[in-house]
Amino acid sequence: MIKTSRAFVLGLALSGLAAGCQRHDASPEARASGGPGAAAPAQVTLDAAIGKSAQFSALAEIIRQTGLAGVLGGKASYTVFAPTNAAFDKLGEPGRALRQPEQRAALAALLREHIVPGMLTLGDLNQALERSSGKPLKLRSMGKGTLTVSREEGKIMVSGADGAKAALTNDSATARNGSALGIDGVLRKVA
Amino acid sequence: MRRFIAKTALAAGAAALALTMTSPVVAGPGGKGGGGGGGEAHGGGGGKHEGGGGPGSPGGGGGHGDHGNGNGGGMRGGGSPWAGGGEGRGHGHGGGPQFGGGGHGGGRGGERGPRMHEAQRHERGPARQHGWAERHAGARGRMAQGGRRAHDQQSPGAAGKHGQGAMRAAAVGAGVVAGAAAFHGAAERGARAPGGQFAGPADNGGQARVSFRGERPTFLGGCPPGLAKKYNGCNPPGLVKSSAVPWQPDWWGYPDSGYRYFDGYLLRTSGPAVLGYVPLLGGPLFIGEIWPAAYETAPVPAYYSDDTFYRLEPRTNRIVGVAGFLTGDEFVVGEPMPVGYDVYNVPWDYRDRYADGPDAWYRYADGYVYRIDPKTMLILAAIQLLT
Repeated sequence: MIKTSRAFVLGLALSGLAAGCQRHDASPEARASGGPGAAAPAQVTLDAAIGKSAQFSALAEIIRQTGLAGVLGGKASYTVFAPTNAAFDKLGEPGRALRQPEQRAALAALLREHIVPGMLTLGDLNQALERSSGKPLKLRSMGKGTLTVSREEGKIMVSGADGAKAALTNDSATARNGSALGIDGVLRKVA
Repeated sequence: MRRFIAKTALAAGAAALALTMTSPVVAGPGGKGGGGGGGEAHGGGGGKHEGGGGPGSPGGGGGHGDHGNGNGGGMRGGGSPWAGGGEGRGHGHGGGPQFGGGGHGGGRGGERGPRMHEAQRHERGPARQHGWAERHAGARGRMAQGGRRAHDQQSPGAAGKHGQGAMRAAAVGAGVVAGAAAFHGAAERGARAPGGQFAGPADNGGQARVSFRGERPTFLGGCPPGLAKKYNGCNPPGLVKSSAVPWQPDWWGYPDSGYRYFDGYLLRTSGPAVLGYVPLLGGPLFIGEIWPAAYETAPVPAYYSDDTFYRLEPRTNRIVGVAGFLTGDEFVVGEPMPVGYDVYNVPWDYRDRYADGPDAWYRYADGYVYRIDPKTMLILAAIQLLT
């Protein structure tokens, strides 16, 4: 919990620092959100950025398996709430069944629930949570539902439409067309 | 409903998705019938845009679209129910369920276009190589179809410069069969879209235009060809056993009753009989598979192709990639931002320009950045990112 909180603070601090090194007209509020002045993301596409992270190797494989690399490797911007390898491991047998080739359609649908439009950073989430004074935030997913983001006991929690909940981890990846924010579970109940 | 409306936004969004971060946008003219006004052009390249595009410009739509009512053409007999042929003329309402692109005054015959009803397509015009455009309140981009409002249509442009390849794209909504992008790039002038829909040529200076129509999903009737072949006349073993169906239709947003998942399809069944189906992303809609013949396609830019866009190899109709997703949300200038955009999410390259401040927030979806009043949460403008 402490590490997570530190990461958030650090994210905010870094974005603010970077902003301080360049001229920007945007408000401090904007800069803190990872906006103007924040360090530029890696000039790779999101699928590649996820593929480079050891913590997201299972996700990278799922992206490949479902054929969604083209989406995350394109020009449009997305953010993936990225289940870590440990998150997939926690699913146990149902999770393994889900990853069988014949369940690819179900897996693709699951993955879509983890994708939201645009680029979100930890700073953006933190700032929005502060702004909302504790009120949960809603994020449209590219699947069928809306994700809910809240802060609980210092952690940022993300909930899927069916109530499946995961906490943000310290793992993340950024790309020119979006970001991946690590989570310690999947956002759909997998029976 | 969200998904339904989505398909209209789809057009715009998809196109915008496709275009990259450097290109143009079109100014948004304002109001009903007349175009003009409202468009605020800014950004680099170019000064002001013409609002609304020139008469007869296929890229148009916007301002001179009168009421922006494309003739939807209704259902195509025997074909996919969403495949009506929008006439793309200035007026006219069709009775069909689609809403599609087109609707630009004096537009090209046979082009597809969004069907709008009571709708002002404010804005647009052929995309040109300059700056940005915003759609402003003052003319609401409201399209109603059976009481459903849709996103203002946008004719994204700029694809002409990429008009290399005759790649087709097909759009399939989750739950919605959408699609029919009529793209006019240099390489596709005069192309005829399958199903006899003329994806008319562009004369907008090499720019492109994409229009979409979509409608409520309809299961394709009968047994999926793939299943029939694989399971000897569509009698797949285990179909009637619930234990063989690990994922319920709700997984894809469909009601659980009356449908079941099987081998990449959502099937509508009656006992062991398969009455209809929807092919799913990752199932038969997957790289290397042949695009279902009953789903229509139309040429669109090579670099992109529901909620989901697929790239198809033009000769074989084989799916070569999944190109993008759209939210399908409805955004109406002057109305509240849809639920789900509580966090700043502007793409990186646009954050300098569209940063949240005390007077305005910005949120991104489907190729647009929306300017929002932080107090009222009303959408003040839609800014197309022709990236």
